[in-house]
Amino acid sequence: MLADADGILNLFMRLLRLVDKVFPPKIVYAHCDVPCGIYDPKSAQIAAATVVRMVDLITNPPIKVDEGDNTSIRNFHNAMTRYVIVKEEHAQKCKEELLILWTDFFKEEHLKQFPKLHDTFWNAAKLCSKNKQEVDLKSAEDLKKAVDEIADIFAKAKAAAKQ
Amino acid sequence: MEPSYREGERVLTFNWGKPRLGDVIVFKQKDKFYIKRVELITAGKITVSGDNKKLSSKFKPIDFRQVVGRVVLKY
Repeated sequence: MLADADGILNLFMRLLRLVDKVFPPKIVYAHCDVPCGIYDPKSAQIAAATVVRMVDLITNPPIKVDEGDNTSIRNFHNAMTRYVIVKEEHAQKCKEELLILWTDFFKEEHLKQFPKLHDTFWNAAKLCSKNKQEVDLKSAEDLKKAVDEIADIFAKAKAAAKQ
Repeated sequence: MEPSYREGERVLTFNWGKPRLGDVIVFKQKDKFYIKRVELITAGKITVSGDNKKLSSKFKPIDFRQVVGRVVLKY
């Protein structure tokens, strides 16, 4: 009897999976974004550094292409595509991480200590978009500088909170 | 909500009956849906918590009207 009950339950679960294909279930989360109270600019810094590295690889590809060899051409395009994808993903990740810091960690009282806070974040977020749109080493390095500046502000804000 | 519920698993919820202590519920907050366990019920508010105490987000007590349903099946 127990085996029958298991069988019916399994059948029901499979039926639910089929229904899900027609009516996809909604996503539920167990966390708001990161566990509350834990913020760190390192993820944004790593993402920005990755953007710089990818722009460097796109601009100065380590792979040499032999125009007369189809395999070489394919491998070259494959490598370049990967660099572009990683650049795109990390510029987006950088923007998301910055937005979490900007909207969740920093509070109104920080504006007194850092009056240019909004401008700094605004500029950094815009640079994330610019680096998605373009392949420009200066823009990538500007993004890295902007994120490092935010990391510095973050460290000062954390230090001030401990006093 | 690990180890009870892991990323990618699906749950079926029913919305009849009021949540009770220990129930796992899905609730809506700021246009997003969350899954948590009922820890305390007081004066129309529900205190929820995650099973993974180390990583779980802390939420303020929620209203009954935010509850979408009780989890009755994981599949």
